[in-house]
Amino acid sequence: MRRYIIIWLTFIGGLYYFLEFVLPAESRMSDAVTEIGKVTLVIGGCSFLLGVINLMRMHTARIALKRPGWYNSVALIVALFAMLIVHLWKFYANAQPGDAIDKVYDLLWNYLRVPIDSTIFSLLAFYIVSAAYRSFRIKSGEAAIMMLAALIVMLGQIPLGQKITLWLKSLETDPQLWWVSRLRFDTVREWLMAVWNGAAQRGILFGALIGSMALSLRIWLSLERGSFFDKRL
Amino acid sequence: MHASYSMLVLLFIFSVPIVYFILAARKGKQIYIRPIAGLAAIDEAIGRATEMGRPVLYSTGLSGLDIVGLCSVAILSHVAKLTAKYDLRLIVPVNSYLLYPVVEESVREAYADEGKLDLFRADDIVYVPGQFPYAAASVGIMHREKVAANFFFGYFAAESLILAEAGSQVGAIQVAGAEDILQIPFFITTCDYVIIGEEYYAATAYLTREPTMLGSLVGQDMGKLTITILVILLTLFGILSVAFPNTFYSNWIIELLRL
Repeated sequence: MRRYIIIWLTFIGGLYYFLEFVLPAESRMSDAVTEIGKVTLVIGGCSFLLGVINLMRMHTARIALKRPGWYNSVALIVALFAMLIVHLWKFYANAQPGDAIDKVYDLLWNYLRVPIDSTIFSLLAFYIVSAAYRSFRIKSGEAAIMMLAALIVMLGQIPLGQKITLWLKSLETDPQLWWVSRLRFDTVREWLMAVWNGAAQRGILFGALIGSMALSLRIWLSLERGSFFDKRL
Repeated sequence: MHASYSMLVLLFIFSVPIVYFILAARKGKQIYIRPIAGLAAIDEAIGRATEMGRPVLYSTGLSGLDIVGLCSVAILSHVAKLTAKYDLRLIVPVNSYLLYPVVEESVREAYADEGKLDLFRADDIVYVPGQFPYAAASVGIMHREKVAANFFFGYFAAESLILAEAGSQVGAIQVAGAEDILQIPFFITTCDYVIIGEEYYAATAYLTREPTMLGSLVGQDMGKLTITILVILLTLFGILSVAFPNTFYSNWIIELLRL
């Protein structure tokens, strides 16, 4: 029974969005999009609570059993509730800039959470270097071509690289050597990115979009099989 | 946004073969799909983790409860069955609160299917909200638990390289699959196997060998074939219209697509 309820709900939900997309705006199908979208918000609210319960269950157990690193769990729970209380307080007290609670909120969010996020993000700079070092080692003919292409793209991207071949621009008006002016790092970079890279990206995109369409169709029509989709419903 | 007439026609052209081949496959039509190295490598990675006796990490990235996320869950089910079969620990950090219950239920079900429900640890399905907290937590898990294999399937953004490079540093065998073309280069540089483009959506068909899914794959290929033929024809037409502007007029195609 439960299986059929889910199949029908999925089909009706999908059918609504399908019709909303294919029928013209005059059909007024779009009028209810916001209201229907709120169902997702309600489900999301319940799932969010599940996530918080999972966090609490996991970290309280870790503290109670004094597992290694249990103090990190204490920090997490304290941070979770501190942020929750301060945010709710700020919201319901309708705090203005400069109020005490607004300053506490700034301290926790803008001066603590945001810089921590930026720190993690900045790790990327180091990881890019180590990843680039590994990938650009010339181990084969293909790797050599990739290395050369990457070098040109990088030089074409930075001002110093552009300056190296800037003098070629003067040949643009030369009736015989005009084509040499096109061999500047920045123009070759553009050509590599737009033509070679662009073609490959479009090829991948075509495949991915048709793939996502096929999967959407399978889920909408409940034709999807395998674990979770046709068992224990 | 509403569909134009040309979009409707294209939607029909691409959908009909998919549904047709699904139904044909269900009636018993034999279908062959080419081997996909990245998906075959899942078994290899699990095998290595079994030999080393170390946990496996499966990351769904920033996927929510959408097509990308659901496809990731389907692959996760397969991975969870293998980890259950070989008595391995599977750790799944989940970023989306919408996807979290689906992931938990899927892993639990996979362990139950293998008769190893006692090995299922709900605490190993970790909810970590936020993009960079997710990256930091996943990297922490990789280092603390010394994972032997990492699987990255789903939607990834800037954290893709942080995750994959950290996995590379702990010496884990890594298999990734992403739909986002901007992240694919990062995975290619750091992972042992990467599945790209439509291979990501072909994963469930490849892993389950379910006729319905295989039929859908053939339908997808027909769609790609249609696009390829259209691209070749339009390119030829474009070239001819430049070479012989008086004989070939190519703008009608663009005008037709704008309808």
